[in-house]
Amino acid sequence: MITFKELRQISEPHYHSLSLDKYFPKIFRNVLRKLIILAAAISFILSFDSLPLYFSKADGFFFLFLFFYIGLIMLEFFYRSMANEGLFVRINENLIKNNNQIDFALSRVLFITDEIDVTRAFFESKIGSEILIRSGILPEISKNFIYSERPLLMASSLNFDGDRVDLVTYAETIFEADKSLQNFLSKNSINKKEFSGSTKWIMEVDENKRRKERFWSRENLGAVPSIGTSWSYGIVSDLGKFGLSFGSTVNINSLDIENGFRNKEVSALEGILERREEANAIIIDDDENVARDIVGRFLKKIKLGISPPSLENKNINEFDWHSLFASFKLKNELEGELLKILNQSMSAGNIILYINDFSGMLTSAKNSGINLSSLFAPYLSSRNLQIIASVSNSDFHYFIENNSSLIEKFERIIPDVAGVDASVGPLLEKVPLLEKQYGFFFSYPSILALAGVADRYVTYGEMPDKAISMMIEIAPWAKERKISILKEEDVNIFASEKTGVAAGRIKENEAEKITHLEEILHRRIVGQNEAVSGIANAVRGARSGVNNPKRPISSFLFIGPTGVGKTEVSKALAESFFGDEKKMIRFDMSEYNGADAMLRLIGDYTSNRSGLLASKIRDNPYGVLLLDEFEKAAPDVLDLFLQILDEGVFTDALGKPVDCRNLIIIATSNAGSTAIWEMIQAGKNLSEAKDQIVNSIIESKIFRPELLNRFDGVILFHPLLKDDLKKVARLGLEKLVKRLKERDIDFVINDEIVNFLVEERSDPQFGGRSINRAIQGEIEDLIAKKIVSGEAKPGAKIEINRSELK
Amino acid sequence: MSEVFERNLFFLTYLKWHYGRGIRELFKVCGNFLWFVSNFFSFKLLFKTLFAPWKRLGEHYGSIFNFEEFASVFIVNSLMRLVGFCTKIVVIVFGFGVYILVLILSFLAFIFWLLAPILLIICAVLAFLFFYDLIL
Repeated sequence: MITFKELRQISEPHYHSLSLDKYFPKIFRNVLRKLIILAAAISFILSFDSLPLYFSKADGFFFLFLFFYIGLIMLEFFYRSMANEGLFVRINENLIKNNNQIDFALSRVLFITDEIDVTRAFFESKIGSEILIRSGILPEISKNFIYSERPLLMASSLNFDGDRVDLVTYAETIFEADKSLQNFLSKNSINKKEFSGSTKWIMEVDENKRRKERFWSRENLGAVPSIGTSWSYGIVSDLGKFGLSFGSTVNINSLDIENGFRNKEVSALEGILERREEANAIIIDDDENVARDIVGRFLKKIKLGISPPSLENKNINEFDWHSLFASFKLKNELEGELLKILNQSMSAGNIILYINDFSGMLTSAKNSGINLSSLFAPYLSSRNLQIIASVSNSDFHYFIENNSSLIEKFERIIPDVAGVDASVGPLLEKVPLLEKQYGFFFSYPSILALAGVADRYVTYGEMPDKAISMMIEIAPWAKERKISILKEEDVNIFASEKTGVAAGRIKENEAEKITHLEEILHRRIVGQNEAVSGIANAVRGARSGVNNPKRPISSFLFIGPTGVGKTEVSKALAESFFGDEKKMIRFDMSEYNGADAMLRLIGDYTSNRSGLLASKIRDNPYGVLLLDEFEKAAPDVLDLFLQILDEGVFTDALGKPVDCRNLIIIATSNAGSTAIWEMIQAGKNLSEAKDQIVNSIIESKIFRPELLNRFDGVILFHPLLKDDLKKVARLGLEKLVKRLKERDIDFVINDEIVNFLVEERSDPQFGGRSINRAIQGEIEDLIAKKIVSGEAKPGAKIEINRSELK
Repeated sequence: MSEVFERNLFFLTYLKWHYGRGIRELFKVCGNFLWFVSNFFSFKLLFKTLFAPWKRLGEHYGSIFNFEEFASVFIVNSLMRLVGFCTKIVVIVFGFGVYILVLILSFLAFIFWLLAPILLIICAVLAFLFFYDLIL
């Protein structure tokens, strides 16, 4: 525990520099120093009496300027020495008192903080105002808050946890202590995580800048490439033709190796490559960019001179085997060239070969009749050549894992799946470049939102790559809309425009839609009040963000006889949720009850083909997945859906994950419809009898209880009653009226036809469907005859009487 | 707080830094530059491979019984080693010169550092004397 007073005492060494900055700003010092040395030089020249412009007082001026110059540079040394105390350095040089207790950014804030209003001082400082901007708050808005009437936070009331306080801890402590600040930030939709995240970001940028300024530090001097290193290693002319220096294919400048991203993988790679023999690594990931990123970070460490000593001076070359295989068709030539490249690389002594899509290379070689694994074997065992290969998961299992001679020469690296949090670091790396290019600011919450939205709604690719591509896409979009600070909402709007799914916080018109979801659904569905309100409640739960993002948006099991509106509800949901009733993937599960059901749904490993379910969901990741006659599916298919409902994801036969988290999954079933029918006939209320019906379904072993429990809701549809049927008939007839209106024929609905349809043509077994069929058949026929006979001309009004219907 | 602090005698603090931590840091910075020179000219690597062939060029010896071939390969390889040796030794000598130079500069900087406060006074005095023409 540290008190505010103690914190100030700890920061004291920085105060020398800070007070210097206050009375004699840095920029002024720098300009003055340059001017004075120039003046000293001029007066030195003028002091020679043999020169035409001789000036008698020049000697005096020279010494005067020299006096000031020496004074100023000593002052500057003092300034730097004091200001850099506590700075974190990558290579320790014993130059900095490395107690790391103090943080210059924090000292700058403490320096201007008075006892009475800590919050104001914090945000009046340059660094504090930057934090607000990075949190996405415009300067005018934050000024209104800072200078408003609010309870003041006294310095004496502050206590800091832990034994080290940096800017982030300080900001967090103020956040906790100052309720008015909390309110202000939450009004601007910024939570503690976002606030301290922006603070951390600003602090690191500031620290990096100050580290770069120290040109005399070992980390900066060590990054200068040395001369003569290449003379001791061989030339790789043939690799030059079919290879590229890895540094030219990946931009390692923007990589920030301090943010900890992929640290684990990079050190694993270093550990493998440091071995004396068989120092080869294979990076297994579906996204080749992950491997590139890891190798890029490793290369950056080599270039900065902070890699393990045995890997100093190593060159990573990417072997472009595609063009090699394209250039040489004959087996002998190809083999010869390959051997030449490998020999050269080995004798060069400092080459690390990077081979992408290693399995592809194996296959191409095989097609040319070359056994690559035996050809590579001696090189893979050699201590003079190291190979890093990348391969996708499925290819690794398919082509490499069972090749024991090959696999024992490689050590595997399986990169961690980067989650949302881990992706923030690489996103921040890209910020400076994009901001420079497009001229707007990314707020920290917008970066978090990008990571979150990309993870949730982009179904292709992996994190952080898909978040980075979204970030690159959003930049021109934001520029077009003249956005100055990109905020979280902007990211959500962008994501909604792109995917059609409403992301993020609920917007007003959408909130309207969701609160009135029952009405919207009832426009298309007759009766079924319990079902409609059950669905609406579940959807509201999903959109309010209380649901688990790792599961589908919503999932329902619709139980009830046919023709009572189950499909219609699904269409209505697709329309109200995804904006189009066609956003629906439909499977008739009765077709998937054979032994081959799984093969057809998720694909076949042996024929290297993905399945229908996998590919359809990949093509339409946002929409309603309707599974008709769910109970007829094979048991293993039901198990598959058990997993989908639970985890929102499944893996196809090729080992690729299929994301189902943006789907509303609706399974329909006729199971239990007799029970429902009986309940209704007995005059029981369906919602009361629900448990009984569900139990009867479980007892008759149609669905297992754990599967039923996975659904967000089991919704019962009751058979249509007479009044409902009348409404169905009217709805059906109204559709017909609409169609006839387009042909300028006014068709009038009367009670006679409605009653006829309900009494004569409805069938309790088929519900509304039989009525719709009668409309399509008999009524439409009759009208068609009238049109053909000329009885109904454009502009005419027609009505059908009971007597006309048989 | 800052006001209290500013009332501290700045010059005293400075002088204490100048002859204490300041000198220590000067040494370390000079050390960094010397480290940089040896790194930049890759002394370690060049010494280790001083007699190795230039860029590892060379030919493999075939049959040792064929004297003519052996001799030609020997000559080529020796030439490569000679080329390597010459370039490397040039760089080493040049780098060594730079190293010495940095060492001398460091020493001068150290002297300057020790005398800096006195130099300041000397400059002020000289300026004064020249202004009033007390020196001819």
